[in-house]
Amino acid sequence: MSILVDKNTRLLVQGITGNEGLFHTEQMLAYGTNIVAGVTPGKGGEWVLDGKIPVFDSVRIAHEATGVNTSVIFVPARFAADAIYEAADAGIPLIICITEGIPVQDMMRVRNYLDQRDIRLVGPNCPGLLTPDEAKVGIIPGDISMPGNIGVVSRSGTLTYEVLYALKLVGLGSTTCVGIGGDPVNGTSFIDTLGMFETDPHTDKIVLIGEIGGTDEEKAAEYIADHLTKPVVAFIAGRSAPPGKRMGHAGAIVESGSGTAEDKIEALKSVGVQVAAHPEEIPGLLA
Amino acid sequence: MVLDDNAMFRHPDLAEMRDVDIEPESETEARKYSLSFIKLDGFIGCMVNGAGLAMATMDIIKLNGGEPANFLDIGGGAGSEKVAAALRIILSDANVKAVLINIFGGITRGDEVARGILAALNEVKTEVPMVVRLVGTNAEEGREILSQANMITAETLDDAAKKAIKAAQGEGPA
Repeated sequence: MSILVDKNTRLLVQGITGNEGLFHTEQMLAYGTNIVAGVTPGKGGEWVLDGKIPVFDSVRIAHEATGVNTSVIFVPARFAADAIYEAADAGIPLIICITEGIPVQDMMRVRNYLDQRDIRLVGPNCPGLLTPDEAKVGIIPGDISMPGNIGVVSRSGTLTYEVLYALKLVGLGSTTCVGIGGDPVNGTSFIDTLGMFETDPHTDKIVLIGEIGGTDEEKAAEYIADHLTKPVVAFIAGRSAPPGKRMGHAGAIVESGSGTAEDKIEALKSVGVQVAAHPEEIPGLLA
Repeated sequence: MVLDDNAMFRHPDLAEMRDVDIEPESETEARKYSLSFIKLDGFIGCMVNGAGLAMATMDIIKLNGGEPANFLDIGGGAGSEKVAAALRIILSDANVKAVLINIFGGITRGDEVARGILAALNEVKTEVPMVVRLVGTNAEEGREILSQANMITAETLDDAAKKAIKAAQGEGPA
């Protein structure tokens, strides 16, 4: 079992004919993900990957023709917000946006729009979702995790791979890995994901990977205290980050003393979360 | 006032006003290659793919008693040219006593990274010791390519950090 994506996912790829879109479509398909359609405006009627996947001009047409229930977006940053609106307007209930570099103001409007509808966005600027042996939606390498009982949620990309790999080395697998992304304004939060893991019967333990910037980890700590019965192990990146500098991710910045790793670690520890000193310590804390 | 770098494409007029004189030369150089680079005051140069992993790598250096000389995310799918530029920029800092290269291959390929490292080393002759950890996509091919260069290898992140600090202190390979 899992959350968000599984064997029943019917995936649409927005931006399927672009370099990134096509490359990762091939990877997702090879993993066994059920990809049923792609969209690139102006390329409707074409097929990609040796005629395996049909391309449509719009999400609405693709939705009507194939009954997709999830969309993953590989559209360049300046058009990505529009791609999210398009998927939302077509009635796709789950949208995963991989694109990095969407202007903050665009995302503020997107967030407001989605909040008024029953639509879940994961990302942007995220590696997507992986439910081992069922569905890979995004860019997480498939071979670094296997089915298991650990739910993983993270603001990062390669750091998440590092943790999945460290878990696999000691024989631990995951129910689903959720990359919520490194942008300051995004869709799904730590809290949303923790809630889903709590109700997923196959998730027994949870790994939370946070980083400096914002207050999402502090909010997660409050939520854990009030709502979670399952044990949580965390790692927070950026203890050595200098204040006032954006550490690669748009949202990873310590501003006016707020958003520090120390505050987040303290908040999590105070509610009984075990916080690893470094990523390779996580498997040991889950034992 | 803070400008959103992501929205700069809408404001070429503001982009022109960037004053590169107030930032370290290495940061200006890094931007040319779309490298996310921040100069710090430590002595261990870092080259990592991914922002979160780059932060975690700096953290573990510090945890083991070292000080990172920089934050550097080469980004996803970096080719050898970008990797070579990154290494040149790291080595241009005279404070750097050792370099830690930590690559978790996904869309970034270990062999591409290895070729970039060799290309940079052909250009910049250096005595600075280097610790390399390659995991994931084409990591084996990458290690094969690097076996001809004189580099220290590491299996885990913790091991890599410890070896880099030792090397920086002139104790040679552990």
